[in-house]
Amino acid sequence: MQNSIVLLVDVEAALADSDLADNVYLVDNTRALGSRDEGRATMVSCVAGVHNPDGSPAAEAVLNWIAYGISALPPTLPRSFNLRSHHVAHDHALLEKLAATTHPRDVAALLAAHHEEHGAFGAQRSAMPYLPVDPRSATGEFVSPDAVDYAAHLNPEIVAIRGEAVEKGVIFPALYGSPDFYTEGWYWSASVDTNKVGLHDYILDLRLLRPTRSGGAVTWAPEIHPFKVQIEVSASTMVNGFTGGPLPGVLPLAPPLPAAEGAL
Amino acid sequence: MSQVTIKLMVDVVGALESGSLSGNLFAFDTHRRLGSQGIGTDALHTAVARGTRIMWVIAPLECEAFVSLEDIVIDRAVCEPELNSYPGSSVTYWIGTVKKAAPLTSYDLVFSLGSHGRSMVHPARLALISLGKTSEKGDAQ
Amino acid sequence: MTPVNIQVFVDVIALLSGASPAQAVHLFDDSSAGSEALGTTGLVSSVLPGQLVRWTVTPLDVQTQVWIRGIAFGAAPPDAPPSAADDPPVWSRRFEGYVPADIFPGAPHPYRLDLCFGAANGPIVAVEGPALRLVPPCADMVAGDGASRLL
Repeated sequence: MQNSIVLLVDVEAALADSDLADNVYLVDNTRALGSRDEGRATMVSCVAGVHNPDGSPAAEAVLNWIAYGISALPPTLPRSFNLRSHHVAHDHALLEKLAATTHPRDVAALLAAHHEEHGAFGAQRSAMPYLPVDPRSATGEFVSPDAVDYAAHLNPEIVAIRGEAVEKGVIFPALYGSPDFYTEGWYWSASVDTNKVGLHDYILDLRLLRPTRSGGAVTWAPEIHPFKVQIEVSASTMVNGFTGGPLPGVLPLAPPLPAAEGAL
Repeated sequence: MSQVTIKLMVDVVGALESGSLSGNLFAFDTHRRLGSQGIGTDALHTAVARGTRIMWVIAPLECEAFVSLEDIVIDRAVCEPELNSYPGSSVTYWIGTVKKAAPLTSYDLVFSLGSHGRSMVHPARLALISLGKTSEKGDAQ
Repeated sequence: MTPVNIQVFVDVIALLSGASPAQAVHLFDDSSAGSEALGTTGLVSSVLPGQLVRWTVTPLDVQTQVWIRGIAFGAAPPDAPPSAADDPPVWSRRFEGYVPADIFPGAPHPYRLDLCFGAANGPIVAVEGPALRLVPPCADMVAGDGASRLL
């Protein structure tokens, strides 16, 4: 069984408070299994383990995490798919103009004009490594990386999962590559040792980007904010659906007695 | 001009299974500190003032599950949301500006869910409330 | 004798959106004695006397939840009550059993699969149509259906 744990972050408020408390909300897909406090920072995800009568695991238990900014572009928009070439196109246009130019003065003027409009050639990717290649506001408009109010539109990023549940071997988290454009190619996932029944804490380290303007230039400084989450692991023993006991019996094929139907 | 984003997270499978969005919609906004109430529930009250630009965005709990917001039924004297789509995509959002402040304006959300675009209404549980009238201590939950 | 695995793949969202089980449920098996209508709700799995048959269910969207609530053999009336109580929980039920050794081979034994989903009191979808067909011992040695062997 796979638990999907979604974090919604009010990035603007979290930056203003310098704190994630009160600014993170969690939702998962296992309310039916007992997850509680859905939509709140205190949500507890229930993991339902199933074991064979000899104690070995009978089913996999997997956690998946994803974090969204409330003001960020919707996760269903494959922005990297359509928009990734934005800056590359500017750089190509500049290179073509430079190739057609012979006078050093014109070269200097072209570079200055490009810098004025789009930032230094190639600098988009090197000076701001954490920013998306093509920053967009929540309405899809291209935003200059100089715009400090763009901070609210950036998704937070999970950079580590640690804490008690990891140290005690309850969960085994790792960052996985994904062919899914929606998540920019990465997601966090963990398998769960469902023998470790009970309530466990773990910490998500979320990276937010804080823009600061100094001397006309904007610097996007990464800030790591820890956030504590809980899971509750329960376990039940696998039962044969026909016999109601631990072992399989003879299938109730014939005669088709009503009492045998759907036996449990 | 202030802007608030209302993100509507829908448990598509839960809604299809129960036939209702009640308990299967989690609504969030960015105005907790300005007095929004019920953030993270299906009864979000968003604190707004005249001139606040509101943006409604959809997020399915599962990326594979389809959901779209087909309509926002609200007193048009207060706000007239418009449907827009992101350039080069079929993903949509709604945007509107608060025309006048009102103590409480509830609105219906009309969704289309799942493989066959099943229509489902979430009636009058979400609302706009007046930013000036709420306590600064407004409880996030 | 190796068990026969019957895999039930369910497009949960389509099924809950109104698609029929025939459109949204797909059954496969790995019977070495041959199968008919692989990939459909009309799957007929050939099984041998004494062979273990094991059903498992897999949602097409891996994070959605679907479980087998019960399996009933024979012609069940359409208004048959749900096949099992809520205890033990549906996710800890394993459906497997041995084919009786004392019945005549030949005629298919139809069964009904009851599927349920995430919510405790949610809908139960009955999948009608699949069947087990008893074949004589050693029938798997002569089955020429290479495709079903690969599955």
